[in-house]
Amino acid sequence: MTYIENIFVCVVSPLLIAMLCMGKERVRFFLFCLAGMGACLLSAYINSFFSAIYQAGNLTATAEIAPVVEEVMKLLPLLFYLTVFEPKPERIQSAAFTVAIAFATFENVCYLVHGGADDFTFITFRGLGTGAMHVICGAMIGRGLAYAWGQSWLKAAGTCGLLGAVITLHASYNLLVARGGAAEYVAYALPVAVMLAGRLLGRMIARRMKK
Amino acid sequence: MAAQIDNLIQLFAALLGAVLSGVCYLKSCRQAYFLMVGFYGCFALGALYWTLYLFLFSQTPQVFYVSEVGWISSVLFLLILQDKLALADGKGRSTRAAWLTPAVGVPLMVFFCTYGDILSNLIWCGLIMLVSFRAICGLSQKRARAFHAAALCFAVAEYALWTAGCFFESDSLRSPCFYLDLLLTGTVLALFPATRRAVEA
Repeated sequence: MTYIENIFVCVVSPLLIAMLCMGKERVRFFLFCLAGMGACLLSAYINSFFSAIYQAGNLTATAEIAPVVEEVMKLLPLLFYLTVFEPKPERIQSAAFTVAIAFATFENVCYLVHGGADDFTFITFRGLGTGAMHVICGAMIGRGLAYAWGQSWLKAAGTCGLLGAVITLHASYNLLVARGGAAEYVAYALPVAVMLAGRLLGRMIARRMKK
Repeated sequence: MAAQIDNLIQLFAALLGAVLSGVCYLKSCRQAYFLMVGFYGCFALGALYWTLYLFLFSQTPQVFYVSEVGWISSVLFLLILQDKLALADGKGRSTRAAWLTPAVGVPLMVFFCTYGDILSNLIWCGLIMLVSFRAICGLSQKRARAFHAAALCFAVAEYALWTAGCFFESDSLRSPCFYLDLLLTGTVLALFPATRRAVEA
């Protein structure tokens, strides 16, 4: 059994102290870090709850329940931020990134505590793959929300559309991971490749916009 | 096997649409193409998940149809695109013929609810009714007529596929579901040239 709330307290404590020491400018970053990790903690509880209700096996819990719960939980702090503070587009993007990265970090810590850290190669692949996947989802949500929330007619439908896109992407990744073997390594490589392609495309679009 | 062939064709069609729309967006930076990327991208993701599930585990999802989330998102992007093109044409009036959509759609929705999950059917039928309502209203517009006709064909193909799915097994080459799914793939692909025509006009 993994005492996830104890791990949460341990990981969050230094962040809280740092938040108090590093001044007002950095508070937002630390708050989103805490929100991302808190979302991960709550996701674990909700996943367990739904898995118990549906008497789900490992595959169902990983590939059908977890992606939906995790992506919804990651979106909630951002929606709160958007509706209450109405931030600038660039702030939305950085907030989404921070939440996603904090979520991935806490998930990796829990995975290490639960599964051990003796296989360095596998852990490295997993860390990179999971990190890249959460970053891609964060980038899609961040950029998409920054765009959609700039236009009143796009807010609700755009947010639902983006959420659907990231849930399906996350679920496809989890599906490959759940299969194990070569498919698992394909899953870890896929988000890294998508991220690099996205960077390239982003640069091309930026160049076009300048012209 | 037939279902896997069908899903693969649909996946490649959606990916092709996403790439073509992406290229057009890169060239022109028009919002309509961005929405098309969203439509095709979500459709492709839904198809990818479904195909992977069938291919890797030889079964369909047991508790929650994640692919449906992707497909619902794609329809949402299509709705936004319809709205965008209607706004660009400067008209937003409904026609009498458009009221045929709830007249046909509501009984069908009740029928589908008796076969499957109620919430999922309510969402799907509600969205498809909206798409067909707006498509019929849009048929009176000159610039985007082809786009709205393609959107209407998409909605009709969806209804036909769901209805056939209630009566026939889908995993056979003899099943009408296979051919109706191919028809749906065709209408999905047809949306790209139709959108292009509307945007370039």
